Amino acid sequence: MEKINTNYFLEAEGLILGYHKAAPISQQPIYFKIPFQSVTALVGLNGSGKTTLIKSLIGESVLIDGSLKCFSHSIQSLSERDLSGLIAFVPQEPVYPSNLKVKHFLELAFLPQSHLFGKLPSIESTDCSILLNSLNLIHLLNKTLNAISSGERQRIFLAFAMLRKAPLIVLDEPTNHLDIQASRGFWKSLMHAKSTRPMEILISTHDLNFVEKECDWVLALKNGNLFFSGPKSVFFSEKWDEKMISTEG
Amino acid sequence: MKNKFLSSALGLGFIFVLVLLLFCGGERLSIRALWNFNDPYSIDHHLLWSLRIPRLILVFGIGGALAMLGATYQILFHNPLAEPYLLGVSSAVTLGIVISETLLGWAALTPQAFGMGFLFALSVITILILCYYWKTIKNMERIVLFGMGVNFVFSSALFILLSYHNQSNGGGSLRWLFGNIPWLNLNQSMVFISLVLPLCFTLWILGRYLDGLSLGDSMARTLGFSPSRMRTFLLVLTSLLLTVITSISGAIGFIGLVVPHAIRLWVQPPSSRYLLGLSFLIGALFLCLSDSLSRALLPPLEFPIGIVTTLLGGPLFLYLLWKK
Repeated sequence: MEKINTNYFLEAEGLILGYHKAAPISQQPIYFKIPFQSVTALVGLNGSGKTTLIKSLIGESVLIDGSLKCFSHSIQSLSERDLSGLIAFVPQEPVYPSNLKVKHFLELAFLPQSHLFGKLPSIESTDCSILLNSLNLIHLLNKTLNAISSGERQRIFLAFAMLRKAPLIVLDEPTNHLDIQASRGFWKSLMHAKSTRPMEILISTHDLNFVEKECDWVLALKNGNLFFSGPKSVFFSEKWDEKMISTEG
Repeated sequence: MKNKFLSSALGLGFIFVLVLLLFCGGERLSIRALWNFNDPYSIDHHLLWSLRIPRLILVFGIGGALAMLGATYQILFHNPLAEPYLLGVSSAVTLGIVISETLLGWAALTPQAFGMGFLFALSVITILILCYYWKTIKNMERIVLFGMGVNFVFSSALFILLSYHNQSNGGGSLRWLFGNIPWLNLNQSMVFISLVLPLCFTLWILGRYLDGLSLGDSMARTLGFSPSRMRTFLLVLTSLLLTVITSISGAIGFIGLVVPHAIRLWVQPPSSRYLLGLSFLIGALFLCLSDSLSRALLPPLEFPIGIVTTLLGGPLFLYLLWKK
């Protein structure tokens, strides 16, 4: 892995998204570059390819064509271990063993760094209690994952991603199943988490209010193709949001 | 501090019970046999070193490994009803051995019969892994269905063979259907346990990745390992372990399914490693107890062990379920 200094943390060149070579989702190759130090919103209607792009980014689905570079490393050439050092992930619908306690779940965030024969560090003994305190989650540590509300659970998954200390956090529609109040709580936690250390955030969402308020960069997909990539201000001032929703072209 | 005290007390109790079980069985064994090495030809010495100790070692390994396998499959397949015999590997082993017994005239527990069972198991594992890799089998539910299919085919073949064979010749092969623990000598038991323990230890070490897998494939991937490769490895490892066990004892039911659940009800395991480790110990203890009971109840009769485990464990499990 050679490290080249650029001003972009994520670069796509001639990217074709899809699950099978025979039926690609994108008709045209995708090119974009996203600058450092940004909260990037990945927007688009359902089926526009948001989740596919995210799955390509974490190496779960192969790229049909083109290249995707994360911090100047080509995703295809990264092993899972390399990847775990770069990306932390918050899934859309969390899967978890239902009677696992929150603190034991959070300990799993240290799995990549831990020695195979050793123990995972305990949440209470490490400095993560500061983070958990600031996210207002410390009272949940002894509850099981199925005994807390969806909003709390999603914030626990955010805390999990933060504990990974990766330079990029990818969130796949994290507020999809949350009510308005829980969504607000989640966004607040996210912005607070971001303020604790410098990192990149890529977040796919339908919540354009949040995009307008907190994001810096917008990546819009439509029918599997790139529709818009640019600063948030341009996205909203040129009414790309309305064009994205409209059915023609 | 209190925790350490408790666990060492439990550990000591565990060993004590195991030693106690040596004196439980069809024949009376005086406690002096433990330190009486002077007379290697005495009945006590023979009873202890040629029968009871090898048997205990064997049963310990089988019980522990079965409970551990059950726990692993329950996590791996996200299925609370998963048990060690899910994938059809055990019915393949059984069929291989019964074929060698009935058609080829090689008795069970001979190297040829083992080889045959191993060959059958290996072919099932290979087909399974190839299907998984070529994406013919896309997800874990499909693997379970594949196992069900294999189980149906092989057990019906087994029934045909056994019913044909039993009419012309005693009923010896029937024990493969219910599970039965054979009498091995000390060397054989040691070979068995030295195969089983390393496999179990590897499985226990990989318990951490089971935790990762239980969070879904995307999460597993960003936790630094390939979920499909890890799953393949786990399937091969567990199948090997199961092959070793079933080729000795046939399919002993109940333990693999219920012991992990009883542990989940009893304590809330903080991690898969914890669950796997405890499953091994409790499973081993439980099968040793059941085995001693099966021999001590109506000597010299020996109850089929599967019936005793169910009789003993069923009510215990219902009690745990009711209490929580």
